Amino acid sequence: MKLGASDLKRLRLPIAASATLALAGVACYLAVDDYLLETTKLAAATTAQRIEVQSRLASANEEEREITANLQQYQALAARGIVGEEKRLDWIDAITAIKNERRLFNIGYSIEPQKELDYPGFAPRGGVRFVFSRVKLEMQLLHEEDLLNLIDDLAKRGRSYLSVRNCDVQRTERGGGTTLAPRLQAACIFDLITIRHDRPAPVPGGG
Amino acid sequence: MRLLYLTANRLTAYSLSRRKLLVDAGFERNDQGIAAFAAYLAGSRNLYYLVIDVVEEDYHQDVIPYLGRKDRRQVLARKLAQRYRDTSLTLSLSLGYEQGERRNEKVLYASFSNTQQFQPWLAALERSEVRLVGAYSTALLAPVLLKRAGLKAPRCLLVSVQQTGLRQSYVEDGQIRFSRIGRLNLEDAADVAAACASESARLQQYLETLHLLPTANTPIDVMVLAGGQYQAALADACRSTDSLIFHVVNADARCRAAGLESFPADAPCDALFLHAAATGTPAQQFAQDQHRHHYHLWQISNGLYTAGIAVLVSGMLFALAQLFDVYNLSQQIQSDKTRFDAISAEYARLTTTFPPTPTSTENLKTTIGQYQTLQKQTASPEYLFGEISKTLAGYPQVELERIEWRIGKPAQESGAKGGAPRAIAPAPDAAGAPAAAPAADPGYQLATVSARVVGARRTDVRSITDMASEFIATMRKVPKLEIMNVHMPFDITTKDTLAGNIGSERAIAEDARFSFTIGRKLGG
Repeated sequence: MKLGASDLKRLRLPIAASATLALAGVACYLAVDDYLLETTKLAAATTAQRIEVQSRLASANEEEREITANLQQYQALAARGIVGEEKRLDWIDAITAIKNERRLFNIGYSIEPQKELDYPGFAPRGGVRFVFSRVKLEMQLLHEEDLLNLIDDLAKRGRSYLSVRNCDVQRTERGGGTTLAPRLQAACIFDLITIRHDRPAPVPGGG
Repeated sequence: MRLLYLTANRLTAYSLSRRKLLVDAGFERNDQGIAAFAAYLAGSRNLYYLVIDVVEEDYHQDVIPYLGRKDRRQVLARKLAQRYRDTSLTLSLSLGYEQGERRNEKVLYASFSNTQQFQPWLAALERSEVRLVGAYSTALLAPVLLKRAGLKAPRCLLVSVQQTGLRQSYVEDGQIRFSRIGRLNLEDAADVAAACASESARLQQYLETLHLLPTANTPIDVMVLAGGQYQAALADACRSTDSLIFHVVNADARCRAAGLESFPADAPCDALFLHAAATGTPAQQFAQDQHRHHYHLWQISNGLYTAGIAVLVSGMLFALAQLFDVYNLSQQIQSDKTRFDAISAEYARLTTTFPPTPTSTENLKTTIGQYQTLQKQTASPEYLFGEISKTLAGYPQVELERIEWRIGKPAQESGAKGGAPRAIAPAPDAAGAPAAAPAADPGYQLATVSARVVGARRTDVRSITDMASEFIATMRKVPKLEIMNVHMPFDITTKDTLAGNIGSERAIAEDARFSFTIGRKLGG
């Protein structure tokens, strides 16, 4: 059978109706398929939430123990002044005091502007930021132990966490003189690290 | 639907609906009749079946070679054209294949001898764009009637008493082979019955002469179909013999058995043929494509609607099945939400007993976790300074000039001067695993030691080299320390120049310097 132009004209309505019905069927299927996909995602998310809260409930005692342990460490850090604003003047006072107590030679220092800590594995996470100020310190030493004592004292007294990055110690004078003249020249780089919280408001009971 | 019963002189239109076969109209074969027929058809959207019952019929059996579909169609068309002058109402029926290697096909050609008498009717149908399903001869419908009557013999003869006369149709293996119609006085039942019996015997002999029966006296089952008024006479006249086995069937009863509650009382056989055309429509018919064009359009249209509806229904069924899944998931979501709320409330109740914290527990955890990481990445120079100092105590001839302590990663090995103690690569887990995440590698504390051998003579290259080597070897023995970037006082390898001045007055070696780097992995 051959179809002419007039036949195609006669078949216009059936073709249009058939296409409309077919499109409606496909659209119906696709719409519900999309709805099913969304519902599946929602169901997966809801189940994951339920499992997570179940898991948290099951480990509530463990969580309480962990919070208590973390809190103790946190309070110790806060007591040392590591949490909060950096206190440069306290740090300078500490150097001055150590120099006098240890009878050290002159100590030169420079403290750079504060930055985000960029050590491996560090990035701002949640509301916690680790920041540091780089300190360049130059001093003359009678003995290398003077340097080690200074570092040890600074770590104990400083109001920041002290991270020694570099220490270059070189001999300046050779031979065994008897006067108390510097024999070594030291140049060190320290990082004074403090911890900041974007949301410092106390949270009773955690959460 | 509409059924048209066409004889040589007139056309009768019937309508079949709700088990009623009713006469719609009758048209004589003249100009007025044709015009009235055209008016009857005008605007009709029914399906039409044309049943033709005329004397002028021809049946011819032939054999053609076994052919492919396209070739077979061409050969059959050529054969029909050769046999019949007018092929507008012809058909060819396959009667099966001969046994043998060549598998020739047996074919029956059928045609109406005088097609001119039908042309006005067919032209009217075509002009009115009527949906003509097909044109069927009463002979073509005979196998349907025999089958419905339950006659299963291989050779059957249908003898039907119709308005046009006595129709005899010979059917073999369910296929029409021959048909003819004879005149009959329908008023006299005895004459009708006698004609049925005698014409059956005569036809049997004729079939033998046509070689349609294998042998003389080949038994044939004869079904005599006639109205109720002839039954008594037929029962008396049609007595079975060895070669003719009569089955007298009441056409009125057959009509009722076929489900026709109402049919023309004077033509029950015609009614049965019409009913067979409408309800047991044979696959083959006589009309050409041009006459059935609008029926084909109707079929295409229906196909399109059906396809569209099928897709719609399929889509809706799939959607329904998915909606069932959605319903189940919704139930699960609701259940999870309810349980989540209950567990959250219980968890919230428990957390009220937790100690108060200065920040969120998450921040607290992060702070302590990162602080511990920080501790692993920091160290005091005290350890390496101490190890150097301890080693130095055993080598008074070695004097330190410089210590460069730092936190970081070991530098790439530079071309070491001297080669006795080659640099030692860092531990495999540090330098040998570049694929490891850098964030997880805390690095090393490293100290580059620059020293010199004092008190040795400049010419004593071996002594100076041995002293430096021993010093480095002693450092190497310290657990967890790695030695790298060793530079000896003199290059004693064959790759560099080694110069000296034996017997020189410059006794004390001023340039007996060596250096190396020691490292320890942080967090180790």
